[in-house]
Amino acid sequence: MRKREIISALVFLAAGGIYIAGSSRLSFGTAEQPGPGFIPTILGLVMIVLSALYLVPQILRGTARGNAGSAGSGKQEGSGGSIIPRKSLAILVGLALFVLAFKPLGFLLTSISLLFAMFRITEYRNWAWSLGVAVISTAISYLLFVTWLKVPLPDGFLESLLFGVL
Amino acid sequence: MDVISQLLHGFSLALSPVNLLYALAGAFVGTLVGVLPGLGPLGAMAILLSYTLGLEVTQAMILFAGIYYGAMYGGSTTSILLNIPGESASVVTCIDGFQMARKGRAGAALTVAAVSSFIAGTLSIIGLMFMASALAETALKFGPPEYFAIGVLGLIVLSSLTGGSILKSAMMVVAGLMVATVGTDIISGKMRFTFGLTQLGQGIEFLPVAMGLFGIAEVLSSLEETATEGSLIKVKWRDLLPTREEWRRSWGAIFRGSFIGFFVGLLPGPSPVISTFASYSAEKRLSKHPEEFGKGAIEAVAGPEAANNAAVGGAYVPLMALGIPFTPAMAVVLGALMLHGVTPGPLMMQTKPDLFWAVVASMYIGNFMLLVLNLPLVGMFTSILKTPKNLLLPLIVIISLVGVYSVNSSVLDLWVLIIFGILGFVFRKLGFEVAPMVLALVIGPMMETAFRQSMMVFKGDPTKFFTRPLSGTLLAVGILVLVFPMIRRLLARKPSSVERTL
Repeated sequence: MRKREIISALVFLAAGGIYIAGSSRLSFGTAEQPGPGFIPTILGLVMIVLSALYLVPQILRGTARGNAGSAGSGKQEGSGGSIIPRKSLAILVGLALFVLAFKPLGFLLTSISLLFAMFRITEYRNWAWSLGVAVISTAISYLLFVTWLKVPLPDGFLESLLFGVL
Repeated sequence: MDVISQLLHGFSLALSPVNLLYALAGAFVGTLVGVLPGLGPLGAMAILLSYTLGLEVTQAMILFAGIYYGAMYGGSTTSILLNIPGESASVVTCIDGFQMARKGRAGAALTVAAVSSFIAGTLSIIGLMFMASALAETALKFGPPEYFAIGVLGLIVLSSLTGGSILKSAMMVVAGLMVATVGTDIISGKMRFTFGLTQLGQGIEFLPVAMGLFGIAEVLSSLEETATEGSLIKVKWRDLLPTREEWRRSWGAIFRGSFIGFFVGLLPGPSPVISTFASYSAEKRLSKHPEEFGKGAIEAVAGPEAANNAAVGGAYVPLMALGIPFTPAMAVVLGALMLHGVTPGPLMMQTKPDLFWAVVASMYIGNFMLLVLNLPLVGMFTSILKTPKNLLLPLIVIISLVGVYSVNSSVLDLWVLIIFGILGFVFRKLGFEVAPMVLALVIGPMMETAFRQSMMVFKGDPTKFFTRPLSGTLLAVGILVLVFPMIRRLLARKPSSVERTL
């Protein structure tokens, strides 16, 4: 657990640092006339101080317990596996692929694929049911959003195939 | 009586068929998510946020109020019958509610829960009406320093009430404020932290952030939970009536719970949840037979159920009167208002009286609907629990994706949704609360503008924040809230047993 906390503290620390670097390009202004960089600089500094306050006790406690190995390096042996469990990770990858493919491939194909993938990942019944429910619920949402609510969802080749024939 | 005539006007608006429909829909959806574990009112409101764009702002508000109330009703049903809290504000109800059910008093517990929810809801709406009007009038005199101070106080109180480490909450607050600075600086018009993306010039949209942090993250977390199979306790119609003794013991708890709930609701933080704990421990302390608590004491159902409903009314006060949301759910409601171009604040009750009073009236109506609908539909709602999670969750994901995309037709918003979904999930795992971050994100721009305007007025002297009576008091309270627990911890060096049991 300790390692996780040290890593997260380091991430916050780095975020504070990058943020300050970004705010240094904005004009700081004066106390009387604070510029666009005034608040960001202060926020970045506060973030660095807070993450340091969080980080230092973690490191101290880590060494005080006499943990084998240096604290803060390596992430192989976090207790209880990785932070994101495999199923959630698979869904997240699916979501990222969905967003990448959404515009080029269109709503129908990407929605059916994502739903099917999610049903399989969560082990919903069997693959035939998964595919069926994916197709039916995509069709319902298409009718609901595109036909009824007139939400402009991107068209892909499945749409042109279906509605080109009709 | 100005309030009465305005309320009557509100009723005339809320009773239009369309608005009634939205109140009913809200109550229904709310009960549904209240019954379903995993998805709470917050997640539901976040997911539906994008769909409210097609509605009128009043209808959107009526819908959201219904969801919030409905969830409080729905959560109690599964707590009592299945020992499964549908949402976090019903955890306390499980303790004695389920014990009552095991003794064959499930029907009585359900009735008392519904009646106390109704009474508390109604009382807190009355509180909301008067408090919001009074507060808004006072707030008209507020200048930028006061708004800045309220923001600071709100964030401090929220961070210390959210539970967990204050340091971690403070880090989340700063992170939220940092995200809030992305986009065009309001005062100078300069682009900040946009990484050359013109779409980011408008700032990071609240909607995909909230949907990611609450909606997607909730879906991911509930994937991990193993399904809790409970055996449903059957309730017969004639068992629904509590005995005279049960009523007698409930009344005091209901009124105390309403009172506690409303005032806890005014505070920043997850107030419905906290109010239930506060009410439970109050009832236990006041009870003549505290030994019954945990074994099916009816006060322990009536009090907390009243409290969580009353807290909803309380939570609306700072939002309606000051335009400052104190709870994550209210931040989402604020998001809905801003999507419709309404900026809440002390002037809103004067410029948009129809909105305020129609929402208040719809809350009365919604509460009544819930009282009438809740008991007969108990069976239906509990059977919804049998819907497999692995069917429901993927569908919720698709609804969220389409919803976010539909607002701006922006793929960037979809990325924001997913990134904040991951962040929300990971933060929770690491024990970082996301609520302070969301609140900071929402009120960050307001606070920055207020701060910079104040500094101009103060000619660069920040001590004037403390010397102005009102802003000074608010900031002093904030510092006390921050420092007090630290001092107490230093003095005690031992967690008190009361805190442990809570």
